[in-house]
Amino acid sequence: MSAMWVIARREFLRYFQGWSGYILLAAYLLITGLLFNAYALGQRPKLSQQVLEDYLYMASGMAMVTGLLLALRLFAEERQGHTLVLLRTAPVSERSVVWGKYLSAVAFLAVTLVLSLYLPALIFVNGKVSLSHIAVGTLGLLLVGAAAAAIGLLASVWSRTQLMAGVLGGAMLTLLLIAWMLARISEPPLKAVLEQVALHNEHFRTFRAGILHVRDLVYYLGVIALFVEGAVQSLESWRWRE
Amino acid sequence: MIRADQLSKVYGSTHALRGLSFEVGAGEIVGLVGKNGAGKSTALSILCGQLLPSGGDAFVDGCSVSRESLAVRRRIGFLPEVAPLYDEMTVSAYLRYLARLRGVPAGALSDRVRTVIARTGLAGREDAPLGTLSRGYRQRAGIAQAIVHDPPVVLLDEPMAGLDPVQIIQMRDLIAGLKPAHTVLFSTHILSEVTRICDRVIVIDRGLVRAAGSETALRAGVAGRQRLRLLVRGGRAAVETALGSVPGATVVLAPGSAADVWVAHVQLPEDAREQVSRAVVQAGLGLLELRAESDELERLMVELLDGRGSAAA
Repeated sequence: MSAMWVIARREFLRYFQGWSGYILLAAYLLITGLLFNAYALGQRPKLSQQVLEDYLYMASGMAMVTGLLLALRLFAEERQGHTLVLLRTAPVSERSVVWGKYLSAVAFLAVTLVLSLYLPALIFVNGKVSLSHIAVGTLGLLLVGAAAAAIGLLASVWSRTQLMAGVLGGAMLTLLLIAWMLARISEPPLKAVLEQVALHNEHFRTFRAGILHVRDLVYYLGVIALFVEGAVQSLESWRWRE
Repeated sequence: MIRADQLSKVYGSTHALRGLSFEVGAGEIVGLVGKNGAGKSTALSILCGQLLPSGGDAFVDGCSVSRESLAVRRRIGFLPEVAPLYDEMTVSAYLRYLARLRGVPAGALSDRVRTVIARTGLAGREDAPLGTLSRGYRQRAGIAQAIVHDPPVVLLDEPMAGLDPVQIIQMRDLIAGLKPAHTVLFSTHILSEVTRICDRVIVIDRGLVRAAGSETALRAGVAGRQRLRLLVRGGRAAVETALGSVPGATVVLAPGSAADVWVAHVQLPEDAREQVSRAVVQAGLGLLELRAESDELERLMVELLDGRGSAAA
C-alpha cells in the first residue's frame, strides 16, 4: 500500500475514533432531513423534479459546510498536537501526505452523501425523476463539498489552530461563493471572470438540473487541484522557512 | 555515518547555525551539548530532513539532506523534544501505522512492532491508548516510533527532559541499548548523562562547534586550571592578602557560617593546593577546609563555552 493510502486510511478511520465524525454525520443527516421537509418539499404542491432540484440546492450548502469542517483539522490538529513532525520526517513526499489526508476527508464526505441518499430515493419512489438526475446531482454535491474541503485543507496548512483555520477557510469559501454577487455589480471583462470563478452559482446549476457538463466538472476538479497543490507547496516551503 | 559540513541556518535576521561541522561514526553514541539556543534542535531538525539548511550540507549514510531528503528520511528515526504521539491510538496501532508509513513490509510488520515493544519496555501496554501513558512511557513510545523501521541512525532531541530520576536511569539504559545496531546522536543539557552513555561529546555554542571529542579529551583541553573552595577563619583583609599572595590566584570571598569564617573560591592556573594551604597557615589563619572543584563537567562546559578551553580532537 502506498504511503498516500496508508495516510488516507488512517485519517479516515480517525473520524470514527472520536465523537467528531459521528457528530458531523448525525448533524448533516438531521439538518438535511429537516431542510428537505421544510424547503424542498415545502407547503405548496411541486413537481418531483423541482423537489429534487430544491433538495440539491439546499444539500449543496450542507456539503460545502461539511467539506470545510472535515478538512480544518487535517493539519492544524497535527500542529497543535506536535505530531506533524512524524509526517515531515517520514520518507514520504509532501504530495502524498497532503493528498492522503485530503482523500480521507472526501471519503468521509462521500459516506455522508451515500447515507443521505434516502432523501432523493424518496423522491424517486414517490415522484417521477430519473436516476441519472439523482446520480449527477449527487456527483455535484460531492464535487462542491470536495472543493470546500480543498479550501479548508489549505486553510488548515496555513493555521496553527483549528479555530484559525475555520476563520480563514470560511473567509476564502465565502469569497468564492459571493463572487457571483460581485459579478452583478462589476463591468466586463471582470464580470465574466467573477461569474466563472464563483464556486456555486454558475457551475452547480447544471448538476442541479441533472446535466453533466464537462466545463463544470473541469472547474471543480481545477479548484480542488489548485487548493490541494497550494497546500503541497506551502508544506514544502516549510522546510525552508521554519 | 553522519557528517555535517559547514551547516548554516538563518531565520530572518537570526543565525541559528553558523557553519556547524562535525562527524559521527557508525555505531557511536554521541551527545550534542550546548546552552539553550545554541542550535542543537536546529541541527537535529536539519539532519532528520525536517528543515533544509540555508548553507552547507549534511550527510546521513552518504545521502545529502539537501538533495536526497527522502533517502535521508528513510535512514533516520527521530524523537523530538515533545514525543509526537496520537493520544487516541493504542501503542501497537501507533507503531503499526508508522512502520507501514516508513515502508516496513506488511509481512514483517507484526514481528517488527513486537520486537520494538519488547525492546523499549512497553510490553503489557500494547493496547493502552497513548494518551493514558505516564511521561516516562510516553518517551519510551517516542523512542519506539523512532526505531520501529530499524533505521541505521537515531536522532533524539532532549530525550531525558522532564523525566524523574528513575525514568532518567531507564531512559539512559534504553539509549545505551540502541548501540551498536543504531548510530545515536542526541542533544541534552543534563551533562552527567553525557559521561554515562556517550562515546563522544560535541559542544556547540551559537551555531558553532566549540569542542568535540571524548570526555577525557575534553577534560584534557581545560586541564591545568584549578578551582579551590576554602573555609578560612580570620579577618577578611588577612584572608584576601594571604590567598592573593599565591601567584596567578583569583580570589572571591563570601561570608561563611560564623562571623570570622570566610568561603573563598580561588581560581588558579595550575594545581597549587600546597602553596595555597601554606599561604593560609603562614598568615596565621585557620584553614578549616580546602576542596578542589576542578572535576565538574558543568564547569568544563562553562569553560569551553566561555572560550577558555581548547577544542579537543
